[in-house]
Amino acid sequence: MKGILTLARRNFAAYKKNYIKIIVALVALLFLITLFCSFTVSLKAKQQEYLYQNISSNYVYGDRPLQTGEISESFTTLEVKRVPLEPLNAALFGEGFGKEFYPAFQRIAIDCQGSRHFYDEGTMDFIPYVAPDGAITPNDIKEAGGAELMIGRYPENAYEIVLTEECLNCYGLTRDILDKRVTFRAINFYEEYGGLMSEWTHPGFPSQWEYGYVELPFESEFTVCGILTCEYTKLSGRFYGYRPTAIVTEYSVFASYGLTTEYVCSLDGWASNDTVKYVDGQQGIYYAGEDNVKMMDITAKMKLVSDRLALYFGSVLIFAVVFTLIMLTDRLCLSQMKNSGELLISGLTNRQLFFVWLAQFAIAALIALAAAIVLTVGSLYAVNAVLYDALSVRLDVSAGTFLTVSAIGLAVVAAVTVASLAYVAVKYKRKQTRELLDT
Amino acid sequence: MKRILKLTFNEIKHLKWTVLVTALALTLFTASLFAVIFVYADLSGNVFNYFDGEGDDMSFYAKSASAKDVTNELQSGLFVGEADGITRSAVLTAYGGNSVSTETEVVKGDGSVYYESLYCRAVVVTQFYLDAYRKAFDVVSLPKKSGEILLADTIAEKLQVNVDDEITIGERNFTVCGVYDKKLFSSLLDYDYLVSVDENTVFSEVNVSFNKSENMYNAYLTLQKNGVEAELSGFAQAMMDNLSLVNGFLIAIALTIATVNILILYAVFAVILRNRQSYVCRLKIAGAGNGLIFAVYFTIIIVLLALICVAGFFLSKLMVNSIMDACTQAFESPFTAHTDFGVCAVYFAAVGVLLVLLCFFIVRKIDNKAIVSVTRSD
Repeated sequence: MKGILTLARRNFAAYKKNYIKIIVALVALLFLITLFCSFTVSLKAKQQEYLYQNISSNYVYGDRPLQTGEISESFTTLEVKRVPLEPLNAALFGEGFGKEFYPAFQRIAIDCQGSRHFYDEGTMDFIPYVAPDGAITPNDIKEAGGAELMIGRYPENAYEIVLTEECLNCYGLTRDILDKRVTFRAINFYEEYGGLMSEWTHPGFPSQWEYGYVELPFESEFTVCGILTCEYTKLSGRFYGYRPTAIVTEYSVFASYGLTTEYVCSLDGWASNDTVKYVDGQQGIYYAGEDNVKMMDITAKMKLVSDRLALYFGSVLIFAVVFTLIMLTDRLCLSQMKNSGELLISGLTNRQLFFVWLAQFAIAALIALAAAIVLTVGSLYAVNAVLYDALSVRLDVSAGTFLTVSAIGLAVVAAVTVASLAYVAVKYKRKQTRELLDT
Repeated sequence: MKRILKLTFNEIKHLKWTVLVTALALTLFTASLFAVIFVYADLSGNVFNYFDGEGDDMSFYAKSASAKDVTNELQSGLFVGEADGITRSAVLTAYGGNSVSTETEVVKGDGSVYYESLYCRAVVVTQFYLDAYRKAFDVVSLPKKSGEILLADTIAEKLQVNVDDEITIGERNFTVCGVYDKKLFSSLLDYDYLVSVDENTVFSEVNVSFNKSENMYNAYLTLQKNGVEAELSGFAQAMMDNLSLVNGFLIAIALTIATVNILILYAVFAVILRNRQSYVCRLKIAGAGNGLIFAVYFTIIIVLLALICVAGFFLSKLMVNSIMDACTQAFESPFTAHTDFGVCAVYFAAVGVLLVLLCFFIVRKIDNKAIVSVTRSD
């Protein structure tokens, strides 16, 4: 073994000019495999992250519960929740209270300990949505981060409410509001345009402020039992893609509206474009919002396109790598034919000669790997800088992923090289000795 | 010439296996590179067509942005929004001394205070704006150039001004281009005033609309580069973010393949020429000059490169068609890609020059010392 390594080292030194070219080629191939895999992994991770953070990926609403495995084989229903729909919540904070009623919502004031807090119009980030009751559970909060996300507790009794810190900021309130009783007051939208209306009215119904009459005075008292910290908004994708302003429990029922039910089916991720099509095609099953359907749809489509791109280019490039390595090993072995013949004459067996070649390639591959890692890391930074400048995106990978794909690259190159060397060894076995004897 | 062709033919015959494998490998690399370029060139356009066909909202909202931030997309955009000191926290003053404030504090009977605000907007006069409000121009004299202001009759009355009068907002002067009956035209316009500003004006909040998603995407990217955060509809946001990711992937792959292609080309041809060093030395001993040897290898390289380019082009066409078919199925909308032979020609020229230089230096490197070394070895 030691003899083989010594021989390989000497041969490597003797043929270093040839090996420099081989090392350049190996660096290029390792560089290609590592970068291609890194970019593919990064793209997939980013798309998955996008789905997870921005899209209501885990829930489907429906007027019936979805059975396990109903959507597709790779897609399972984790949990079905029966959710009583409360029009109050929908009207106050919920889905039905869309952006078109935004100005009306701005007129909601919060009374706390004798002072009235108005919505600060300068804080435009305020988003007046809340998921309906039951869609977000204490368990969801716990899974998403628990104590770091929520100060206080989840609503357990009637007329308790959780507010987000974002909501507090919009009203100039502080965390001291925890455990205090607050009163939500809805101010008529037209009030500031000349005081034509009476003081309070119910928000959220376009007919009221469109036609200018007052139907219901709205005034509701809640106890603030919890505050969702700003950190929560980063995880909002899990909860319908909205950033809820407040969470109220199902106990806060206003009986003036009829009670309906719907089912929230918690699903094991959105897998593919087929899933979107399936859910789209089912009557009575729908997503949390129309926009979410489209967001999910386009993401699934682009994911499919990128998968196809990776598959096509990956397949073609791997063949190119194989052909290049075959050609290089062949040329290198050919350039050492005379030397190899002499080694065979001097008593080296074919197997030992094969190991000598292998050791020589291993030395070249290790040098190439070191160079390729430096080149690849530099290229990753450079390419990401170019991409960020041009498209404001980055395709960076973690150190662990990078090392894994580098190892994969080396393994691919090593496997192909060994196979190619074995082929070349058989091909030139007789020719070498014969040529040597001729000379 | 005959000698060159004969030597070339002999060399190809000798290297046929190597040439074949090399050509295969390089054709695959080249085809991948062409395919990435073709897909990158047309994917965005197809996605934009799909988006335009969906009829989705093509506007976004941004804070602290000026129209000048998106110079290239300026004329195709409609910039309407709030500008501090012009539409909010502003005082309009007429030369007669009358003034109107955009916010008024009102104290109610119970002592509580609230603010009444005027509903005003600033707009940048662009081609899109002129086209979008063409019909409105027939009934109301909207601002047509920077420095003009349209007032609701209520405000004009308070200021005691009429058309062509000058008013100041803060330190800026504006000419009243029209006064309109707010009650009569409430369905058309409901502004207390609409003021046109120049493209350098920084909007505290602006809504930017486009009629083509491509313009919206470019403007969105430009704003992002300038550090301005823009908010889009969920669908547009998803489309743009995903498109940027896929485009980024394609650019990254194209750069990688191009780099690898050059390195592999260098390594492959250098190894082949190095392998043939003793043959070249023998040719030199037999009286062949550098020119002849260069001509032989030049011919081989150029012919091989031409074959690689042509084969790579047709293979890339197949790849691109398959990818676009997959896109068509996914998007349920026709996706097409234009495969331009010009790319192939440019690649042939650029790589050809590199290889010829490489060949030239390697042939020149085989000097008398190398010839002596080969002769001794033999």
